[in-house]
Amino acid sequence: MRCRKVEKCLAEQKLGILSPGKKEALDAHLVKCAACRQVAEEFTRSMTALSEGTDIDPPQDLVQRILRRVAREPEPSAPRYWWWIAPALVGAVVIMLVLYMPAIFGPRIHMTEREVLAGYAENLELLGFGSTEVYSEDDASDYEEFGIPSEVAKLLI
Amino acid sequence: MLKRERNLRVQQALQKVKPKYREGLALRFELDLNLQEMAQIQGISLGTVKSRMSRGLKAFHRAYQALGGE
Repeated sequence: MRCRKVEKCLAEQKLGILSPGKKEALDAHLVKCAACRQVAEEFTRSMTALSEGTDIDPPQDLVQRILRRVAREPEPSAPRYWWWIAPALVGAVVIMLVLYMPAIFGPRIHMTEREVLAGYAENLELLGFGSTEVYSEDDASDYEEFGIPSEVAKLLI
Repeated sequence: MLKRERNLRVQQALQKVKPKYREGLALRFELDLNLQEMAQIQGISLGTVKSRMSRGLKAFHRAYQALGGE
């Protein structure tokens, strides 16, 4: 490597864009060239001062140019999660429709109060409750054993 | 050297750097942008950004050293 290339390589190294081949050549050159070693040390101090001494005044029109460029940028696209949210919502609606389909679209059953009571009465009768026919004199005698009058026992089923 | 004195020298050195290079240095060291972002904002190619930044750092170094360095 030539001495005149050293500063350019040092700058590229600072930017992180120095190729491995050039890095190797630079290191080899610095080992054998005291003048360039001095340059490299000074360059490092300059870069430290630049990094720490902030408040760099950019050209006046930089902010305006950035704003103009940003204004030309297209609007950000829809959030990325829409690709799975939309199908999930459709799936949820389909499941709800399937589950509630009979209730929503099924035949309406209208029963009169009498029909409903009749249904219960039949069931209760099968179970032995709710019908006066279940009552018998034997049942009344059972109550009478406990001192309950027969008139009252008839009411106790 | 005092930090304030060094910062003043940095400012003086930066004023000696061409505006197009100083703009790159500001984006890089003030706003912490990477080279790709700088290319996008400045509307120039990545290669041009690399070239300008390399020349800008070299120019700043020479200006800073001319002012006495550190």
